[in-house]
Amino acid sequence: MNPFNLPGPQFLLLYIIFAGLVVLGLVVWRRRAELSEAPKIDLSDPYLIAYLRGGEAEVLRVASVSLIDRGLLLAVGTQIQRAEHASPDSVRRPIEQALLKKYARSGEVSWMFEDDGLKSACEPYGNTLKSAQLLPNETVSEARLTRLVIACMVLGGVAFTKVMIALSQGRTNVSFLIILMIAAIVVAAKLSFPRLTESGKAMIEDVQSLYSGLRDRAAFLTPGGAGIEPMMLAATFGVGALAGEGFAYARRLFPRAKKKANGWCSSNSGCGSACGSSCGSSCGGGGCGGGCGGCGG
Amino acid sequence: MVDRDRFGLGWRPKLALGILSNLDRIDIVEVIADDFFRAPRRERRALRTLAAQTPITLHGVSLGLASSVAVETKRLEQMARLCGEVEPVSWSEHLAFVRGGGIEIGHLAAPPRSSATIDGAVANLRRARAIVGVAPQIENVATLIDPPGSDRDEATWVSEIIRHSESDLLLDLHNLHANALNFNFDPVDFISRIPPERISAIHLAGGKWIGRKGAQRLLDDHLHDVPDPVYELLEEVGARAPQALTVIIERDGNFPPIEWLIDELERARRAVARGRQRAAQKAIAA
Amino acid sequence: MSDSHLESFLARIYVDETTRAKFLADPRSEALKAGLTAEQVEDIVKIDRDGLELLAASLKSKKQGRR
Repeated sequence: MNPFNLPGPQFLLLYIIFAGLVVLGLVVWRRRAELSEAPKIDLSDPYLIAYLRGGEAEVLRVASVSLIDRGLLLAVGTQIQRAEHASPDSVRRPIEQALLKKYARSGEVSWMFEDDGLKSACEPYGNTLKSAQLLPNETVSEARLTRLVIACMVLGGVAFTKVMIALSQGRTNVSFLIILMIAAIVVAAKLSFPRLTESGKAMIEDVQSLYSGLRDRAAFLTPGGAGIEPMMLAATFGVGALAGEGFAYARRLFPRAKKKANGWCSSNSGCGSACGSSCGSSCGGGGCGGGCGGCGG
Repeated sequence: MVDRDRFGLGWRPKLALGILSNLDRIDIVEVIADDFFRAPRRERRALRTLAAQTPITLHGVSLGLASSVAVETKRLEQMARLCGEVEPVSWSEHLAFVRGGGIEIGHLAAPPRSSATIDGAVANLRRARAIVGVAPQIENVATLIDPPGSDRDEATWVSEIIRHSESDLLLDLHNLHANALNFNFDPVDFISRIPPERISAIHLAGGKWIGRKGAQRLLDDHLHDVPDPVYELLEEVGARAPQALTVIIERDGNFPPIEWLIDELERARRAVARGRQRAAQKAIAA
Repeated sequence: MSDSHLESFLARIYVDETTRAKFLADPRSEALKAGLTAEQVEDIVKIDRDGLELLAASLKSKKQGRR
């Protein structure tokens, strides 16, 4: 039986199912094409991880908190300012230098997200991640566009064919079908260009799993700039993951980040546990992931 | 013949950032396999991502290979699956038994050193190699009790298993040190009785004395620094083993700053280098 | 010849306090009941008691640490 000869309402239902399958197929195709072996990148660079997880905005949040934690920036309410003793030359990373320059005088923390200079300072992280195909580079973007065009041609082709048949039979009530086609194309387009590649999404989940110990110790991490653990926690799970009164300024400066971090891993559904298993080994002394607590004895 | 000795740390969640921040000074990471047997797919994938950053070796703790009883196939298949997913450079287990008569001991126990456990270990190692695809390195265990039913000493027992199997020895020098102190034998003599070309990996760890006065034993608890005598034993191994060694420091808790562990690793490098130099000088003199 | 009876018996006395107490009170009888060979019985009655107590305590402490 020729589906194009189905009456209008039945064809619409069939088209909805068909469009759903095309969009699903498009997503599966993109995911398979973009998932590859994990590249080697510097998993100890909090700014690189922050950029992967949330782009320039996340880098700026983590860098700000890092500078405040080290006493190089001062936070008062929602304003920040470079400390008197601090100078851009006293830090090594370009993004930190740029922030210290930007806030030589007191300013609203929200200004940083509009500053082109600060965005440029984040570019090297983006470039590294694009080279590793964790963010879409030109090749990936072209492939995505090609897949979308093919999907649009299929969706449009089927709809157009039915419209032509309907019009040839004197039926002009084709608007629903055209609306469905447009809706399907819009959904397909929205799902075709996620910020991360599938490998990038996997990498964030993997980093959160590898650093799950940090998340479990969040309540015990202390401010003061002595180690980079708080910054890596913020980079991996969001500034909102920083617990305790010592980091209250972070939650005050970036309230939206707190809301995002409440489901810490929700964006990628699952961080893993410190154990990673029910630890059903007969050894496992010292708790899961804690090694075997001694070999014998 | 030495290609390149490798020095690394045991992977523990609390050490993750320290390890990943120092991969220029860490050659390899050892992961406890059992932590991942029943882990969600996502966590096993994270291990693979770790393996992309640095070589990893998987270390099992619950097979109980040195038993006169056959290891269950499903346990070996678990290890095989994980090895297939993660593609470590090697995997290892212990010359221990961990269960008997349906009871899980909850730790690595030294089995009776008898022909029955030698035969059992060799058979289990053959099956392990067949199912996993590559033979494991096998580790000597520390013991607080001289295992009853033993008719030979530890050096003889370990050597016989090594000689009749494809598995090389992962020589845990703190386990050796503890057993030597607890049961009064010479650890250097032990090392001299193991075929040196069959030692491919080393564990270093620390422990503490336990028990009442007059009946104390050294416990290998992985919670303390590597003691000096263990570095001396490492130098001995470096002087004898012709092939590259993989040296892992095991620390399960009471963690010092990462720099402390890196310093221990550097000390291990120097100990092996001294041993190698001694061997080279001896070869020239001969 | 398998040492499976011996390994089972050792596992029980290492892990179970009651079994261990009974064994220490009358090692020969308990070993015979467990089906050990004559040679194994002769060996196990001479068991390293200090080591056994330390091992049992260590296993108990590890088990508690895991909970």
